[in-house]
Amino acid sequence: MNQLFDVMQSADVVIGIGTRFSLGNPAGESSTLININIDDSELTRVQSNTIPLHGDARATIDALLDCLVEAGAGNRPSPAAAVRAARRLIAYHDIRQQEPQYPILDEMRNSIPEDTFIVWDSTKFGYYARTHYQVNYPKTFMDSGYSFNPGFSFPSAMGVKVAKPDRPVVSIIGDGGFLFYSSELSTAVKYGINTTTVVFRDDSYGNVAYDLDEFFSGTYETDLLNPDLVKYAEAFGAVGMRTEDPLELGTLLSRALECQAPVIIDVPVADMPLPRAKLQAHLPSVPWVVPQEGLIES
Amino acid sequence: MAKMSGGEALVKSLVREGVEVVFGIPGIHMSGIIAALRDEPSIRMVTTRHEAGASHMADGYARAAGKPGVVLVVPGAGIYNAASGLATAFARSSPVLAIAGQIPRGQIGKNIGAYHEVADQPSVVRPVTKWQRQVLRPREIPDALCEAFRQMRTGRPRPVLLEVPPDTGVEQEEVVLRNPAKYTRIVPSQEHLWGAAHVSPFSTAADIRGRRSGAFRCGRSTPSAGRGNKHSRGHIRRRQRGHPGPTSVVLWLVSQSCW
Repeated sequence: MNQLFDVMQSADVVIGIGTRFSLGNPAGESSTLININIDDSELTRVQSNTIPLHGDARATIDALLDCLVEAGAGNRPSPAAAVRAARRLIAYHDIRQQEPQYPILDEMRNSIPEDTFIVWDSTKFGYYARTHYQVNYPKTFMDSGYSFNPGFSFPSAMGVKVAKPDRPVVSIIGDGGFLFYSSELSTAVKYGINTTTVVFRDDSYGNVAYDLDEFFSGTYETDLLNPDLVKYAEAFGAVGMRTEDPLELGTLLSRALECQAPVIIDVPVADMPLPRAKLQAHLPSVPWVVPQEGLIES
Repeated sequence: MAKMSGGEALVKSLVREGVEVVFGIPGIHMSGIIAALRDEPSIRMVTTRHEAGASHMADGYARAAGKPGVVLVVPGAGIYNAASGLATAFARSSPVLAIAGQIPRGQIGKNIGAYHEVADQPSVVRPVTKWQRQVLRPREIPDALCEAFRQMRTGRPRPVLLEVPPDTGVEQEEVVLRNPAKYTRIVPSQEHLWGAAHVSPFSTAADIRGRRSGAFRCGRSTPSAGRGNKHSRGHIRRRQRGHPGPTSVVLWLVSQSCW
C-alpha cells in the first residue's frame, strides 16, 4: 500500500469516476481533479482545484472522448506499461505474503470460477480482501461500502443468487456476523437458494477484540459462544462442512459449489493480524477512535 | 381505465416496471397487496424470516441484476427491521424499493397507539432513502410507483420508500395504469467537458506520442480550465508550451457499483 500511495501522490491529474474520495484526493490540492459523478453533491466537495463533470459515467466518458477528438488530442500511448510497472513496484515492496490471510485468499481464488460473485462481510478477511483480493471479473466483488454492517453478506449473497441463479455465489463472513441473519438459512433451503457461506470462526468479535487488545490494554466481553455450525446447517437441511486447515478451503469450496444445496463451511481460525498497520501509516488517525488533535476545529 | 384494488394497481405497476421478485414478509396490513401478488404469475415472492434478511436480499439482487430490488414489509417494526438493509443499499448506491405498510388512513398521524403505529414512519428510513411517498388512494399508485422507479433509475441509485395503508390496498376504484417512463442519461454541459478535455495531460497528448515511457506528461494545475472558453484554452496551451511540467501518472478511479 505504501508504494501505491506513492504512485497516487505523484499524479498531476486525477480522474474520479463515481467515487467519493472519503479520504480526500490522494494526490492533493496541487493536482487537478476531474470529478465525474452522477450525484452533483459529490462534485466539488473534495477540493477547489476540480473540474466537475456532472453526469452518467458512460455517457460522460463518451462525450469527453468526443471532445478530445474534436480538440485534436489523437491517440496516445497505452498506459499499460506504466500500470504494469506500478504493480511490480507494489508487489515487490508488499509484505502481504508474510501475512496468514494471503495464502488462504490465494487458495480461494484459485479454486473458484472467475465469474463467482463474492460478498465480503465485515470480518477480518473481508477487510483484508478490500485491498488484497485481485478481482478478475467485473462486478463480482461486493461489500457493504461504508456501511460495514456485520452479517449483511449472507442474505445479500442470497439476493445475488436469486438474480443470477446460474452463477456461483460465495459469502465470506465471520462467526459474529453470520449469526446476525443465520435464520435465513431456512429461506435458502426452502427456495433452493444455493449459496456457499464460508464462516471464519474465531469465536469472538475478533476485530473489536484486536482493537481493544492493541490500543486499549485488553479486550472486554468480545468472546462469543457459537453452536456447532456443521450441525446447525444440517438442522436446517443445508450442507455443513468444516476444515481445521484454512489452506484446504479451496478443495472444500470446489466441492461446495457442486452441491445442489446451501452450504456452510466452518473454518475455525486463530487470531489474525490486520493489514491495518500498513494502511494506518497513511491515514490521519492511529487508531481512528482516539480523538485527533486538529481534526475538530474549536 | 379499470376498476381494481390498490394491491392490484401496485402489483400490475410492478410488472410493468419489470419486477420479477419481491422479498418480504406478508402481514395483515398488506393483505390487498399479498392477494394481488398471489394472483400475479410473473412475480415470485421470497418470504424471509426477518425483514433485515429481506432488505439485504433486495440489495444483493439489485446489485447483481442491475435493476431495482423490491422489499415488502409491514409497518412499524417491519420497517425498523428492514432499515439495516436499506442502509447498506444506501451506502452502496443500490436501488431498492421498500414497500411498507401503514396503519389505516383515518388513524395516520394521530399518535393513538394504533396497531403497528409509528408516528411519522417515513422518518425511520429518511436518512437512508432518497425519496419517500405515501399513497392514500388506489388511483394514486401508478404515478407514485412510476416516480419511485424514476428516482431509482436516474441520478444516484439509492433506496426509496412507498407507503400503502391497508385500506388503500383493499379498496377498489378506477385506476389508470402507466407505462414505465423513458429516461435519458445525464451528460455534463459542453462547457465543462471542454474544460476537462483541455486540462493536461489531454491537451499535450499529441506531444507525448512516441515517448518510450508509459507515463503521461502533464502540466501542473490549471484552475481556469473549468471555464473552458477559447481564452482559457489558449491560456492552458501557452502555459504548457512554457512549462512542460513533470512526467506523471493519471489515475482512473472507478468505484464498484451495480451500474
